[in-house]
Amino acid sequence: MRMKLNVWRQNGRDAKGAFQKYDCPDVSEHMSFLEMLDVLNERIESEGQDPIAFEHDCREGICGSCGFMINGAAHGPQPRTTVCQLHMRSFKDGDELWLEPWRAKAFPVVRDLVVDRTAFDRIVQAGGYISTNTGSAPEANAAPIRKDSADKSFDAAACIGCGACVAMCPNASASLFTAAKLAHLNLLPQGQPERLIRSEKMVVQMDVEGFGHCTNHSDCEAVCPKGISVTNIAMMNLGYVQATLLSSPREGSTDD
Amino acid sequence: MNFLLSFWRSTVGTKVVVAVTGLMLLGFTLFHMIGNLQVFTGAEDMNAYGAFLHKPEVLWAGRCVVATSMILHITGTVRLVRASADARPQGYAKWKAQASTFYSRTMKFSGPIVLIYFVVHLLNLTTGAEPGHIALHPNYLQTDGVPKAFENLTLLLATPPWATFYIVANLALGLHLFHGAYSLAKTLGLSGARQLRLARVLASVLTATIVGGNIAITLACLLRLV
Repeated sequence: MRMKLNVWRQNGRDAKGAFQKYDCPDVSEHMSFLEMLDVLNERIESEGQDPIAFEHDCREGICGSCGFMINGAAHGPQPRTTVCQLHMRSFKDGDELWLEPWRAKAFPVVRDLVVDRTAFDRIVQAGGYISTNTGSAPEANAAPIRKDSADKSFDAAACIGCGACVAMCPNASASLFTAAKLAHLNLLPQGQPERLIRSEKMVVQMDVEGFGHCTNHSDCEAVCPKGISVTNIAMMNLGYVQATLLSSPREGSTDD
Repeated sequence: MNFLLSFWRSTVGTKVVVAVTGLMLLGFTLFHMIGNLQVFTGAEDMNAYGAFLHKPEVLWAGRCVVATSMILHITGTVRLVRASADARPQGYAKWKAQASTFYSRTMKFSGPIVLIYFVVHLLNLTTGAEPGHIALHPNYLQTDGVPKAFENLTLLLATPPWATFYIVANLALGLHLFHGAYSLAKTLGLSGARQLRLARVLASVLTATIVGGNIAITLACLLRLV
């Protein structure tokens, strides 16, 4: 296959970026998208140029490292698939592709297709944990959990934090990510003691990081490689209202 | 009162305010349309209804609720639209909608069109009865500050340019209401699959009822069926 690539090249955080054209004449349909870039990078390096920077780690679709826009869709055209698991057979011979990094103020470009997603880490640090004494693991069946709650929590916990939701959202909102991290803990008994303070603090941190707001477009859900449902966002909204308007002030609350 | 301020400052809080006020304005448009259906039962009914609405306590209570809702709805939305613009200073060269719809992405345009519709509608049929008597109307009739609702409405909408304006404005209202009504259910925390299906059906039915009713009234006046 022959692919024509337009790749966003940017030398650093404050540098001005631009698209650069690359012609890839010998692409095998069995290659993953990242393998195609590996081959292209070898050629670029052999010509004495800087290779295209992109993030990757497991290449199994479970680590959340990889991801960029391909022709205006986060992770490319295949639903529920990260870029590393996307294969060239999903494209046609001669296709022209536009590769762009996630674009959001809270995700500054580090280089080329790599963005800094530590804003996500700070949202999790704000409340995406449970406080518990460590020691031997408790008896697994000691705390009964409803099957549907466990299922929903597990679905939300599948979030790999890749950032596709933010990238695809017309508002650059991190609502799907934050809502998934909240639902993951808020639906389980272990998450109950800190449910309200968590709901408040993670939403506040999401705003502090400079993400946009949710207008229920559902573009995020459509590109999420793990199929996280937007219904988690409705639960987040309800949790935030309960935490800020319908409960008495708590220690550590942001409006103290 | 600090907690109310921090609620308003958060994007989720503002969204909830926009949703609640949107729900109130949706209720207002629905009852307004139902009231106007009296154009089909005759001048007497409609003018009596108009006179009832012009009792000072009813009039000013209604105006306060609608004005407060609109102010909060619009200031909240402006805040959110600006936050979104700030959140992505550099746009994409290519961006392809995956699930979002025409009406969901045009809320910030259909909203201002509805606002223009609202202001023009006031100038057409309300301000003529207020001190100053400004009316965008072929022949505005009123007695002692109470407008002759039936005559004013039927005469206005019998003119093709105004009828066209009202039909176009109602289609924009429909775009705004459909996404708004469904979206506000999610914003207010509805997350069950069954409730969301119900919300979608309700949003469609309400939108079709309001827009259909308003357009039916307009067409009836234009074609001089009433």
